[in-house]
Amino acid sequence: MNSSSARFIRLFDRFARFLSAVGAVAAGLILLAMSLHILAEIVLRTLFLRSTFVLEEMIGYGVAAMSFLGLGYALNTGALIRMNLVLEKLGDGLVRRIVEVICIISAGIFTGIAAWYFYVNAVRDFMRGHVSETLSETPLWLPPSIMLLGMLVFLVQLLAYLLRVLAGDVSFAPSGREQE
Amino acid sequence: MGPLEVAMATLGLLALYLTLGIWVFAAVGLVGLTALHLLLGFDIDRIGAIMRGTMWRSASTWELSAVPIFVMMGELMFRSDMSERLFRGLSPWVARVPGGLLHTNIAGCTVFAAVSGSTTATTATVGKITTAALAERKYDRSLAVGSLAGAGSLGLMIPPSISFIIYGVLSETSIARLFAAGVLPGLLIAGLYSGYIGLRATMNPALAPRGNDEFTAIDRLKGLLDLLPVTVLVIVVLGSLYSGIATPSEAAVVGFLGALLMVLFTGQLTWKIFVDSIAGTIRITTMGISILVAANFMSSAMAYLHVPQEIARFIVSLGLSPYVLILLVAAFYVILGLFLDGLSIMVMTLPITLPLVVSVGFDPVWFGVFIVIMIELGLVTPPIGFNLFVLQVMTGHKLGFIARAAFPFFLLLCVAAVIITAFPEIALWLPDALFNR
Repeated sequence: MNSSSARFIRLFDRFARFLSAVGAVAAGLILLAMSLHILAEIVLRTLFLRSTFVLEEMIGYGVAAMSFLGLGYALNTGALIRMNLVLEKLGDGLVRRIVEVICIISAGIFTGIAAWYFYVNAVRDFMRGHVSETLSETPLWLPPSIMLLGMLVFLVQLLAYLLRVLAGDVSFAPSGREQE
Repeated sequence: MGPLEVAMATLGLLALYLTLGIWVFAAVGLVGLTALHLLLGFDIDRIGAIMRGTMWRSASTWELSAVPIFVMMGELMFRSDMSERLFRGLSPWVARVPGGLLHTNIAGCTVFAAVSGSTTATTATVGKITTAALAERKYDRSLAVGSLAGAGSLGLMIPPSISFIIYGVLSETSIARLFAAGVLPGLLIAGLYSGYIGLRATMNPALAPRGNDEFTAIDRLKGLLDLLPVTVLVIVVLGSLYSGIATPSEAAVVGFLGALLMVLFTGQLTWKIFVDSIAGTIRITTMGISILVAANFMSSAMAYLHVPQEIARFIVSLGLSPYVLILLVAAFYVILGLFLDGLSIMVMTLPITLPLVVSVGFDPVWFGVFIVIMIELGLVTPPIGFNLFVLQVMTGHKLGFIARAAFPFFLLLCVAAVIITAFPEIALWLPDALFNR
């Protein structure tokens, strides 16, 4: 491995982590916005007998967006659960690197295919100008595209990890032990 | 390939992907992908359309919003002085009972579980103080660690509980009913734990030495004052739910707001605590909901393959009695619990087990309680037991030691499962009384 490619890997890794962090911040803001919307709905209903009428729709969009925007960050921090009984037995050797590569590519295939069809659908909804059949008349392509954005960040993060594993570094594959 | 072989092939794929170490959500999704492509020969565009549809529909389920908000509430209180308050408040009340301060583990977890949706937050919050305090007073290490491992899992059973929200969404059962159904079984489990501690301490007082802690009536009253904030939160959250004036998501927001105000007025709210709580919430929520979403795609793939129907038909053809069936289901969950986390188990198996169990006459709300006990069992069994991991980090003991210490509590959970199967009213009485069917 020459030093310029090592430098590229390091830079790309930093870029991916930055994207993941941005995704997490966006997810956090969406979470707070959702909480405020629900709170507003409670206040409107109890004090003014009114409603925003779009609560369930908007909160649904929010859940989808926030849980996928955080994917890259969750991967980074080891919060995404994986079974590591076998991985741990493999140490840091060549076999471990091969298995890690298989894992990364598999996760990439699933997320990549899902992302592609989210994209295809979004383009179609955009072209046809479909909007939701609710008061908000939200363009149908928009909310799933935020989820798509989260998948793309995750894919970039996976690619950064792939490069690092190929360069021999499997250190950043902690499993989600502290979670649940 | 016959239908049963298809079912076995699908499960084999799942086991393969998971064992390799592929992140659970991706492994689950890949099973759907490969099964539809290889076994049914669907072309990729058709699979993609199914994926896009099922994933978007399940991710944008608004009821799920209760998950991150309840998690956020627990995360915030974990970072506050709640654990000191619980210990100070409960100690004067339990010091004279056989087993003494060991009961702060059980009672602390029971109380905290009523404002938190997750086991990690519950175990970590209570253990933050009790692990050191009990060791200092020379309590039996094994009993101290084991009781915490067991009681921490009450976070799943006592409402609000993330498991019940996910179960409710998956099984289309009322989340409010589930939240009511968890109360008495939760108290039953806490009672079994405390009874066991009391018994052990009576037989061998050296396990729980009477220290120099002397508590007066004044101390007990002061203790109540320490418990006041958490009590108010419990009443606000569960009260608004049970009276039917708030949905689980609304109760979660009210609870979060209450927790935020509590932290603010006691002068503990810093920018760091706030941001850390949200970051922790994002990690847990992303992990959980991504698995749920992928599992939803997998279960619709399984439905195309008729896997649930075939397994159900096979098991029904065996002509088992309901109790033998539930025993088999329990054994299946205990085995899965050795290797997988509870949430993954629930979302992956429910499409198969729920119709099966309901078809022989069990109530879906009751099964929600039952499956939560099964998940709790998985939390305290090695090699993958999340409560063991939490305690390993907190106490520095070896995993094997913690697992052995937790084993009696594992058995007590099994006892609770038997009792609840024999007397389903323990779970079903409160929801029926509150929401009179």
